[in-house]
Amino acid sequence: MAATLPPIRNKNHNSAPGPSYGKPKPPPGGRLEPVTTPANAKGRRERMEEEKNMILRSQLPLLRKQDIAKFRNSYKHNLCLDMLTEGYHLSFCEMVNLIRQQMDRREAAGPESFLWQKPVLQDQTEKLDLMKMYLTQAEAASRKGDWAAEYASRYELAQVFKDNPDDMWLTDHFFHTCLEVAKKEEKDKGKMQAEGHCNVGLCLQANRNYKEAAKHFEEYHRLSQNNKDDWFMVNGTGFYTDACIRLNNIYTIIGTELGRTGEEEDDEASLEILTQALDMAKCSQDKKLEGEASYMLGIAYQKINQLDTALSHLFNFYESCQGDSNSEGIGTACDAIAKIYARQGNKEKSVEFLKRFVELTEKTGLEKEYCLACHNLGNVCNSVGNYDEATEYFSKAYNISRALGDSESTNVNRVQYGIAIAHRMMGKFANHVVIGDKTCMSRLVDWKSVRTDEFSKPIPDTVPGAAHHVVIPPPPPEVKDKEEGQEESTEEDLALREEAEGQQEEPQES
Amino acid sequence: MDINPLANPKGVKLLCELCQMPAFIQCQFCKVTYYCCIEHQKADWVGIHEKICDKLAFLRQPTPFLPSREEREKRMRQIAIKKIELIEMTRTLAQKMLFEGKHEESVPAAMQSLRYAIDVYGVATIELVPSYLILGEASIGLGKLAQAEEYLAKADWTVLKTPDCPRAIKSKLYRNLGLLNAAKGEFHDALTCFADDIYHASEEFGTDDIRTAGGYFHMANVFFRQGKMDVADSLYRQVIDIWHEHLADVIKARTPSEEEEAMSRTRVLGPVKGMFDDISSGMDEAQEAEAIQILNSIHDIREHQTNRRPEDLAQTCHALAMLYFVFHDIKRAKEYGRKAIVASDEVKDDDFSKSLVEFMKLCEKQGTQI
Repeated sequence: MAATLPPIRNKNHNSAPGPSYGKPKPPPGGRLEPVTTPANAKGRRERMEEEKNMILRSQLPLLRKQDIAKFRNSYKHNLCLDMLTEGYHLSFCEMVNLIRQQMDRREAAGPESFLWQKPVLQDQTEKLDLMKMYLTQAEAASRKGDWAAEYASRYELAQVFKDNPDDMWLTDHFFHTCLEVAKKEEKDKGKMQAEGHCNVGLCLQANRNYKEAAKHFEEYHRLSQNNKDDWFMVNGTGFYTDACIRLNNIYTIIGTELGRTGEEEDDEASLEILTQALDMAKCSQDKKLEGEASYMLGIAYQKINQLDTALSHLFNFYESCQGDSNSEGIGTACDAIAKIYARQGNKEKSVEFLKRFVELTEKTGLEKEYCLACHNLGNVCNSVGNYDEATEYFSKAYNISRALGDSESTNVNRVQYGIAIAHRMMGKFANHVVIGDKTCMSRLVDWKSVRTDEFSKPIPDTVPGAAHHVVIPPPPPEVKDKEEGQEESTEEDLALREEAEGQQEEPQES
Repeated sequence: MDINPLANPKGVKLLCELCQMPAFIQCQFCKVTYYCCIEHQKADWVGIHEKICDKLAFLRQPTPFLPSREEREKRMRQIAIKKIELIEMTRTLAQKMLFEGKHEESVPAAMQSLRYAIDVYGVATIELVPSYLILGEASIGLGKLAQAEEYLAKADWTVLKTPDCPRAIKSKLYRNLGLLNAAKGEFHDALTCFADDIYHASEEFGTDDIRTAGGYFHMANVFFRQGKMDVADSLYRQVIDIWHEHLADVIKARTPSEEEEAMSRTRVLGPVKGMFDDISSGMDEAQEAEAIQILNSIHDIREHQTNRRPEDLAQTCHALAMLYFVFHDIKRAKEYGRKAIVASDEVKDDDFSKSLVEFMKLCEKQGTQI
């Protein structure tokens, strides 16, 4: 049986010979002869032109199919064909999938997304070229089983895209593949793998995926622990130290994030993580880092009211700062310690640390911290009842913040300054009211009408012992809180309130 | 001078279904198909006629007189649908026979599909290209390269003239051109064609689709013949990976609903089976045949390779076993499954061994059910 292949029957093939355009036909009548032109009738110039064209055409290369395809296809298409014909099919797959991934993401984001403004990978020819080069290198290396070379190529590729924030996803992708490659390598005891984990961790950290990042850093730490003394980076830092620093970093971030939510369980988890961070900092043998970790932990303890533990951690921080004379750190430490003492009710200690803080900042010329220090000290003095000093510090704070042009702190300090002055005046004012003789009354009236402050002058001794009858009213704590809440008040407002305060407390005294 | 057989009405020329010569024999079932000789009838019967005899009877019967316009239109539509069905079916069958290596038998089916495609879509339209491609592939298989080139050139030209030609067709065209070049021994051109094939298929279906895998396979064959074993190896590995994953997915999707599956199997067992996509495997017949061809040839290559990696053979065997499992050929599935286990003894991959054991359990269960 022979089912022979029938020839292609071209149905639309026109068997009748079409009109031939080569030779002019005589008109049907037959009477007119076509005008025959002699062959050499063409102008000389025309012939020259023709010859030139012939020469030019013969110089052009004969185009093969692939050459034509180069012009017809897109750049990406040609690149892919090159890769495939050379046999690098895995590189091809990876590249096509990356391009597609980007397009899909764009589609998913919807037509109004800002992603559409950004150039797509398939239009950026130089990036495609780079990718092709490194990917084919990597594939060739992988075929030979030379994992180190493949790792290097992929690492290079990741580095290429590192600088452009739009290409971060590519960096992430290549670092992840780096890690995959590194896992195959068994000869170097996991050094490459450790590096891979570190890079992936950093990527995840940049993408705010802290939990996963922490896992990778832990792996990094575990791997580098066994080879503390052998593995060093280019700049001389040991892998192990680096791992500790990174772990401390990520733990601190996670801890702070957890602490911010305000849930009780989260607070405990936060404490745990911050303790881990401190451990890591200790392992890294970096005093500064350790100090900072202690500080974070101290603050966290303070938050859940474990003041003693908090104090001990803060003292650690204080010492570490003193060790490397980090005045800013000492300042922060003093401030935090003073706050805790204040909460414990230990005013003297608190004042002592704040004074240290003030002195320190005054010396080092850290304006902002100085302002803060004065403010805090003023607050404490205020609450202790030491109004003269309070006034002094608040006026300092007020002036500095005004000089710095920080409107928020200026307002706060202005209010506090006013309160302090009012408090200072209060005792004498009350005294005047209590004595109530003619001079006193006239002074009071004067103050009421024109705000002349003459209360500090000695009272003429009309009633014996009256001058010593000084009553300092303890400041009602809720008043202070209320004042702090209203930071944005204006000066007129303030004056009114001072007055009101004075009048409010008047009847109490009398 | 024409001779009119006496039994025919004058003016009606009966032509052979295959060679278009005057015909003297009639198919006794449908009575609308004619042949010049017994050989051609046999060839057509084996190739396609058996499957489409009744369909042709419907399509070729003289148009009955229908008084109303609506009825006439309705009939037209019906016929158009039938014709398209016929085209699809003949194409799939032809492709299947090609994958099974029966090049000669596939020609009648391909011709039939081409005839009706011209009838429905007209000459020089993109819809004819698949038929041309099948004919081209059959010609390559039969060693008639000049003829193959003719068919493929026709397809190529049509594709070139259709700017928004579907990528799937382009991919198939380039695959056939690649096969042609490979048959001619022009390996470099063949590689370019296969590369184009893979590119278009990946753009259409994704890089890891079974429809892309064919391109990788042919490319691997070219590299193999060029002696670039490392490249061929890695390509074969990718092909196996793609099929392995696909088959594993198919099996996974099937296992939970076994009863449902069993029901569908009894339903499919009728004469309908073999005409439409096999429901249970999720592939059409041509793809099934392709899977058998590709996996078996890779398996052969791996078995004869001396410096192979052990996991390659194991995975190939596993894929083959899953394939036969999907086709309900439990005996063979078990046989390959056992081979895979033997091969995987050298591999220290627990996940793989575990999946193999699971698979064997499934086989046992299926075996007892039948």
